[in-house]
Amino acid sequence: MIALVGLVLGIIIGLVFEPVIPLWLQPYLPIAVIAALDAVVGAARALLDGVFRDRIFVVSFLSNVVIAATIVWLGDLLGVGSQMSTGVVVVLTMRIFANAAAIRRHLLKA
Amino acid sequence: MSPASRSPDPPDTGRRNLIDQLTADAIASDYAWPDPEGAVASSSTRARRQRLVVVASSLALAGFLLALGLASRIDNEPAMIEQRTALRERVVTAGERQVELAADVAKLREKVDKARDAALEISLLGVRLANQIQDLELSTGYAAATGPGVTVTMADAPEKGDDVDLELTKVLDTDLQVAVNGLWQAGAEAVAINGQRLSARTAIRSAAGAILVNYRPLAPPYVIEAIGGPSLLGDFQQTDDAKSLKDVSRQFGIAFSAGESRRLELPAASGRLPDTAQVVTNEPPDVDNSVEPGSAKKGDRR
Repeated sequence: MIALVGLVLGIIIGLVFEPVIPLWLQPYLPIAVIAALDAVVGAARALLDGVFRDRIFVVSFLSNVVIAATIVWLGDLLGVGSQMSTGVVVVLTMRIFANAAAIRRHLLKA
Repeated sequence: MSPASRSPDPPDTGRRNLIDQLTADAIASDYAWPDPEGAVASSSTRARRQRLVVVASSLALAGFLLALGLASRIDNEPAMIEQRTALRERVVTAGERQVELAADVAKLREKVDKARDAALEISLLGVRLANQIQDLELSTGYAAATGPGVTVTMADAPEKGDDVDLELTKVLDTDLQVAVNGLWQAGAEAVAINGQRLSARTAIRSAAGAILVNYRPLAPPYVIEAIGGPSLLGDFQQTDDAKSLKDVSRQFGIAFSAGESRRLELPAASGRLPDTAQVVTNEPPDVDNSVEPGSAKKGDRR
């Protein structure tokens, strides 16, 4: 419950304050968002599977966001930034779908 | 489906295809080795609450990131609109400046003309030259012209359905070329399309979906004004060009009409004068040489 309140609070803070994102960070923000989404969906599935551990969630959430952004940044330096971001998005999206499917099976038994 | 039951032994991973692997590992990579510490620590209520706060703040960060991503997308739009309006303003100011400069050019031309006429007035030869210059100015489009003539109007066909090819129901540059050729053939002395006077250096062509005359884009309907004698309209309608335009009009629904006008006022051509071409002069200009003295004078005036 508190966790959900935190999520909603974060969204509200982001929308209300609308902080200016530095230009150099802008290409990596969407990737970070997808990584965060992946971590949240993964956590929800783990919770339903009964294997959720808060420590793992926090660490994996932070590290996944940083790693995803870093991979794209590295790709940008190598000149394959857009391909890298495509790759990261594909992998994370597939994970989100797989986890969402598991959640669906838990909740709807279908 | 539980990931643990699906992939009992890790070495199996190598043989599965990418999608299976991703599906199986979706959770395994993050939660496959649940740390025993977390389970133990959860016994204490205080520690549990602390952990809950950590999770909540992590989720808050996730939500914050999500909102940030959405907001930045939304924020980009006003910036783009701003850029577009700035660009449009620049185009408009440049256009206004061009109009101003064109007016300046017209004024200066008038001054030059007056000075020239004053200089030529003093001798008989001068007067004859002045007459020749006037004639040439009319036929080259250098001077504004007025007189009776014919107005030809062409417009795109009204849009009916999407079964008609849109390109064909529009007035093309070639249609205007045909109409103008027909008017010249019928004896037009001066022609302008939507206020753009045709000169020897005028091209009627299309670029990026617009018809350009004197490098200025025109918007439909296209009004072609031609100054000519009383038989201009009749002669024009007898030309093959007018007949083919009538066919095009009937076939594709393009509006095409021609009517007489009692008084037309055509502006001077805005196009450039010849820069490099020079008149061939074999002998010193004399009174009987009809074309060359005038043209030479024109060349000198640049």
